Amino acid sequence: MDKLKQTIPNIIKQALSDEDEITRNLMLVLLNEVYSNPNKESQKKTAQRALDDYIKTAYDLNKSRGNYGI
Amino acid sequence: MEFKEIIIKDFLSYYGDNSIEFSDMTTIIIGQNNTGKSKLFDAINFAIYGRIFHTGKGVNGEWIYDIKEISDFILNNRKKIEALEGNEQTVDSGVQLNIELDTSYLNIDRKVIYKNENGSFKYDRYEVSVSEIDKLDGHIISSDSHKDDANSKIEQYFSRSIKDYFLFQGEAASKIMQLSKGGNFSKAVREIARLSVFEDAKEIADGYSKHVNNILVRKINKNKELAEKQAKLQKELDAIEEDIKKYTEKRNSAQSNIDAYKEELNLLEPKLSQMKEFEEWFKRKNELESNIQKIKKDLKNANSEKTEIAEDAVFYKISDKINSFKNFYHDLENKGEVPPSIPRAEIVKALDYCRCTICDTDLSEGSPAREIVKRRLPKCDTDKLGNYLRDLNIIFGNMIDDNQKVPQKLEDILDRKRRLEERKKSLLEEKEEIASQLESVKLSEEHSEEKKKEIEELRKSINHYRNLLERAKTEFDRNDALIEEKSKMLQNLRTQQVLEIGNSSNTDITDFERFWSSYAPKVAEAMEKLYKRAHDTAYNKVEEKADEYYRKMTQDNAGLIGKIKIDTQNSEIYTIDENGDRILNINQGNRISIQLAVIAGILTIAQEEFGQQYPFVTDAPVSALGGDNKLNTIQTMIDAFEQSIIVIKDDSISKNKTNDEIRNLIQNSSYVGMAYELSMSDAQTKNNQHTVIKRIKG
Repeated sequence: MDKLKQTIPNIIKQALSDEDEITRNLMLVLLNEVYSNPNKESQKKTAQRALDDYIKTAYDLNKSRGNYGI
Repeated sequence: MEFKEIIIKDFLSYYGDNSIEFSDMTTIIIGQNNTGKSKLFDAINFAIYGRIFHTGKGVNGEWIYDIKEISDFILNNRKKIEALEGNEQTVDSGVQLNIELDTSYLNIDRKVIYKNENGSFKYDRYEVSVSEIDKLDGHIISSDSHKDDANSKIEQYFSRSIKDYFLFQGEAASKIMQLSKGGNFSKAVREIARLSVFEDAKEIADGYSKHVNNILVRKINKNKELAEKQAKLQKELDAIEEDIKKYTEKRNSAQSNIDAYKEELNLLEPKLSQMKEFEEWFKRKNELESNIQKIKKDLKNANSEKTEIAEDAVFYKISDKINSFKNFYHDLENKGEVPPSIPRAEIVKALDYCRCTICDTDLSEGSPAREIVKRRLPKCDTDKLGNYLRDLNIIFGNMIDDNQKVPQKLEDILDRKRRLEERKKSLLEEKEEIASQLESVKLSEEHSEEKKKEIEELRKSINHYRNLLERAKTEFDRNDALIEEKSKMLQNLRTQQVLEIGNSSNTDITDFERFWSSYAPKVAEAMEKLYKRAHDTAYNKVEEKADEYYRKMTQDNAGLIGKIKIDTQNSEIYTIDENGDRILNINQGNRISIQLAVIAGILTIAQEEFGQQYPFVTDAPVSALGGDNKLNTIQTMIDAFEQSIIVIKDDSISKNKTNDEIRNLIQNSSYVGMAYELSMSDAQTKNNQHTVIKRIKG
């Protein structure tokens, strides 16, 4: 994600600014996976796995902040 | 992304190793006709896409991708001749292109290797390799020497869809202006704007959202299914419990009945027992009456038997007398006082044998006995007594045994008669006694009849209650069995219920799943928006930017220029006037300018909005332009692209004013970092000529 963050195109920056933090990060996770893995066959799996991982992290973080659920 | 350097080795008009470094801004390469300008453009195309432009193919020339076909003419002629003369066994012809990326260098090496076969070089193999080297520490990030892997790696940075845009050949401009869906322009816009990436991301996010939704829906459905199952199970349990209740009530009712009937019987049976005396009495009375009847019958029989015995006795007495007479006669006979009762046949037989068969008297001829017998013979048949005695002998002969038993039999008969008499006497006495007893109870006869009825009623009641009791017991047992059966079913169902609840305890939707299911659709929606924004931006901003460049290129034109319109609906690019009407008569110069402006627009927007930066490499872009447009166009390209490599014809020998202005531009523009002049080497034959590169700036 770092590589993408360094050179986030304007179009993505604008789209990200409309969203909340978790959605924004999920978008970045997804785009990073698609950018860095042009292989369509494995792209979907790796992207979904990355989204799963981030959602879990975000949930744990949210919970540790005292926010249960949404 | 920047092209740093190209090394062309024995490739087309380039002999030996030829290095051209590129400026990070603009590099202009000029040369007269047939000095290797287009061959340089070919070299860049060959390095990246493995293609070269064959002017001899088709109407206006065509790109060739088949490596065997390419290998037929890319080996430099001079190299070929020298290698054959030097009897070299292998030679190669190819290009290396070094590219600078954000954090690394990408080195592409593509070449064809030839093998000397009987004095000519034949295609041997084709090699492509790509290596990526880290900018900071120089370590190799990746290295692909397998042809397919290397081509895939190159395609990650240079999609085939954009090849004709950033590698722009003036003559081929019209082809790349196709707007139709799937056409070159649309493909290029998709690629440059990374629309495919956004589209892929959108589809993945959409699929992800559906996937999460499906998981939850499945879970909800599972819960629903489970709830339905539980409800069904509960209903069954309730029904069974209801049954058990019903059967228990019935069993209790049966038990109550049993108790009631037992109570009744407990009351009735002692009553009956108390009436036993009467019962006995009635029983005895009945027995006595029955005995009297029997005795009467026996007496009757005894009388009848007595008569029979009397008859027998008479018979036996007579037969006894006869027997006595017979014995008497035999005595007389033996004494000779009466004639023997000899049958005629016996006498004849004795005469025949000459001896008496009875007394063994000699009866031979002339004997006195014979004479007596002969005389006697005629009388035999007429002797009635003899005949009578003979018959009696026959009868009594048969009865001899019976006759012997007659005295005993008579004795028995008399004994029986005596016993019968005794029994008769006893029975009569008993009868007398019973009659006396009956006489004694005669006074309570009326009362006993009532008792009799009462007993009968009592017995009837007892029997009735016993029947009821039996039925109640059966009912009790039946209901008890049903309760047991239903209780077992209840137990099984409760076990099933516990198991199912236990197994499905994790089906509740967790906080995490709620969290998960709220963000998955958000991402899908955001990606959908991003894709739409990217799509609209790609076309709208390209149009805006292209128009801006177009105005710069045509700023000195006196005529109507108009505004560039990218018509995605009709798949066309054209210019419109201030009223929005399409300008129909566009000259060739303006057409080229439109095309270049659109390409410049695409590449600029790709860089500004989508973070995609491509060097712009063009061969003869302005050959069809004239006047001030040529210079303005070059100037626009210099301004528009971060890095541009412009290959144009050098017309300076013809003292063309414009061309001089290009050379002035090279010298004076601070954006033109490097410039080269290409020429052909001096040689005796054309085959020995090759491109000579002279750096004129940088």
